[in-house]
Amino acid sequence: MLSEPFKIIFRRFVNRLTESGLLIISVALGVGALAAGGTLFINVINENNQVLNSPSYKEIVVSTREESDSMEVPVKEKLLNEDAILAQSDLDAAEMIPSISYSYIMNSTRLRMINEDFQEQANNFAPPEQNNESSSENGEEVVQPNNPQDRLDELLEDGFDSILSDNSIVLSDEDEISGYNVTSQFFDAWDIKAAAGSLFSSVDYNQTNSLVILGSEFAKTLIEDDEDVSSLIGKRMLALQGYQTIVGVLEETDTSYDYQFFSPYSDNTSSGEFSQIRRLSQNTQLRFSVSDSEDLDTVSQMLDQWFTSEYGEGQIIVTNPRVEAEQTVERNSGISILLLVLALSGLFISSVNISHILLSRTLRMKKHVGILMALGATKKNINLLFSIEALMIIVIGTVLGVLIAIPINTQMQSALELTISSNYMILISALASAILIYCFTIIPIRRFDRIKPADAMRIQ
Amino acid sequence: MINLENISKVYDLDETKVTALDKVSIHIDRGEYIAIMGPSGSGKSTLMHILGILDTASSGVYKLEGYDITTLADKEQARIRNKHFGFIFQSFNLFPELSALENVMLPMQYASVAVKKRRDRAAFLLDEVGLSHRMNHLPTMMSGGEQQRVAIARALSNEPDLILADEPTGNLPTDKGDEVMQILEKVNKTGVTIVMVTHNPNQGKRANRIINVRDGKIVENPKDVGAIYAK
Ligand SMILES: Nc1ncnc2c1ncn2[C@@H]1O[C@H](COP(=O)(O)OP(=O)(O)OP(=O)(O)O)[C@@H](O)[C@H]1O
Ligand SMILES: [Mg+2]
Repeated sequence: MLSEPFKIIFRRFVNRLTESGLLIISVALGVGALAAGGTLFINVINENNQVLNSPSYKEIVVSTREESDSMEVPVKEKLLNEDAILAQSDLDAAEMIPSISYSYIMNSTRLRMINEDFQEQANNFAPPEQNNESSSENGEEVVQPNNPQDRLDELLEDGFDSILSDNSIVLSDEDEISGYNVTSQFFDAWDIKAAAGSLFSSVDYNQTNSLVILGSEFAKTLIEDDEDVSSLIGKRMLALQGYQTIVGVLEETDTSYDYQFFSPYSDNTSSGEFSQIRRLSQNTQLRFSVSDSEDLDTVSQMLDQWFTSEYGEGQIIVTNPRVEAEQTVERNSGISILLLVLALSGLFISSVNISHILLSRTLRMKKHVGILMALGATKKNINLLFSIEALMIIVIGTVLGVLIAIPINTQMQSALELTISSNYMILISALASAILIYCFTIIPIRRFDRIKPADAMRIQ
Repeated sequence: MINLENISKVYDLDETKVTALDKVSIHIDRGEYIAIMGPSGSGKSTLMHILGILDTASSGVYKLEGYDITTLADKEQARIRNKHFGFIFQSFNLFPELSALENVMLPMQYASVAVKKRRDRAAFLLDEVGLSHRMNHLPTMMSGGEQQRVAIARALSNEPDLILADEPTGNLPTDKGDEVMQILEKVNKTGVTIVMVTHNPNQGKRANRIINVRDGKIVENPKDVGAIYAK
């Protein structure tokens, strides 16, 4: 139930919809501007910090030339034309340069999962042809199947039911999972530890057995809600490439790695021309990471010299991804600072505007205030009454402002290609701008203190 | 009940000083019915404002039931206005946003009276002043006489000890003014003190006492009203 003094305020508010509407719009625009600008600014700062601290921008990438040139050239032809094929042994370059802390290979790969869907497809189409071309579609290495033909035949013979009943086998609902073949220092460079099971041992890197370590989120998709990821250790995942034994589950990293898997990389398990073709088709890149990003330039130069002397001029490309990242970081900071300044001026202008409109309201309410005081209102009562009015305007305006800010923010986030986008930042900056606007309304409301009821009574 | 001792009110304008009240001393007893009269600009309204603690005197002492109220905090002054005084103005001063009933309920809200009790008492008072059929009307839909009767009901809402009426009939035709006067006299009969500013000698005659103000000074303050009109 509204008190009578508040009814006065509320009905005036409704009766003067144009003025009230203008006030609300001013608040909404001010709040909307800062909520969008502030959120963008903070998200850009966070993203920049994350980017610049990310291990991927503290490393030098070494790759063969043709990767960056043409992926279309058939592998066989490449082999004939090019000598340069990077191998695990090239990681030894790190030993020449003390500021390199880790060196590793990280090749993307995929697992084609076998599940009930696959079973259906296999029944519909002639099954043996399904897996003839299991290698290198995208120049990515595919874990070599442990004789997939046999596996599949066996599978179809025994029937899928026997697999479903086998407790040591886990099935994924996904058709395909992407992952990486990595050498041991990958985990050190990214400082990722196993949450369950273990990382690969040095023996694992030399084995032909298919071993996998799972990202945390991917692992969760393989278990029931009430199970622990550690229950996966030692179990086998069924993939077209064969059974993959799970040796570990990684801790959460908040990166895409959480949704992927890792297998041990090895290029000394096979030899001869086939191995070379494989490696060439593997898109092998060497990564050399440093602990201090200041060292990147010199390390880059030294690696360039080293690989040029090994493979000859122009065969090997040494890139420093941080250079480009820094440009993006700088561009995004510039844009977000500009927008923040614009948003702050927008908020300031609308605050002043609101303060001004409220002040002129105050003067028009002088007689009302005088009568209220004559009837027993204290100054505190009056302040409270008009604060509630201001608050009402601010709350409605802030809600509208947030509704304005959300699409703007989404647009800006994608325009700046940000991956960090927290919508709760919008609420926080909206709240901050609402408080700022409220501070501006205190000034006109304080004016009521100066009203003497006797003076108000003389107003006709 | 009220004792004003050497009350002065000086308005400090940029260059000049306007002395609206000049060392005024008045004693008002409980249950009195006083008419304040005097030419325009003589300081009648100023005196009413000081009596009602709507304004503070530049000098002098205001005692209410023996207590000096000039030094009281805003909250205490507001409480006295709310609980002990009722105001009636020439221009009614009802809130145009509120119905007659709500206007009468408002002072009781500041006295922390519960909604239902406020509404019942407001309805009772409006009935008393003959407006039970106008309770939910807005002031803009009412005649001047009706508005002033709502204002009287509002002034009575917290059962005041003193009603201060500044030219309550000034904006009303004679017959409507008489209605208002009759109500005020009825209120006075219940023991409520009334101080009223008026320009109408007939109204003045009906008071127990007339205080005549001129140039901020009290020129006549006879106990016997008839003495003034005998001259
Ligand atoms: N706020 C003010 N500032 C300066 N002078 C004022 C102010 N208020 C009143 N006065 C002056 O004080 C004097 C007394 O005014 P007041 O309103 O009390 O007269 P009044 O007797 O009520 O007159 P009326 O019969 O016209 O209502 C007048 O000269 C007036 O001009
Ligand atoms: Mg006057």
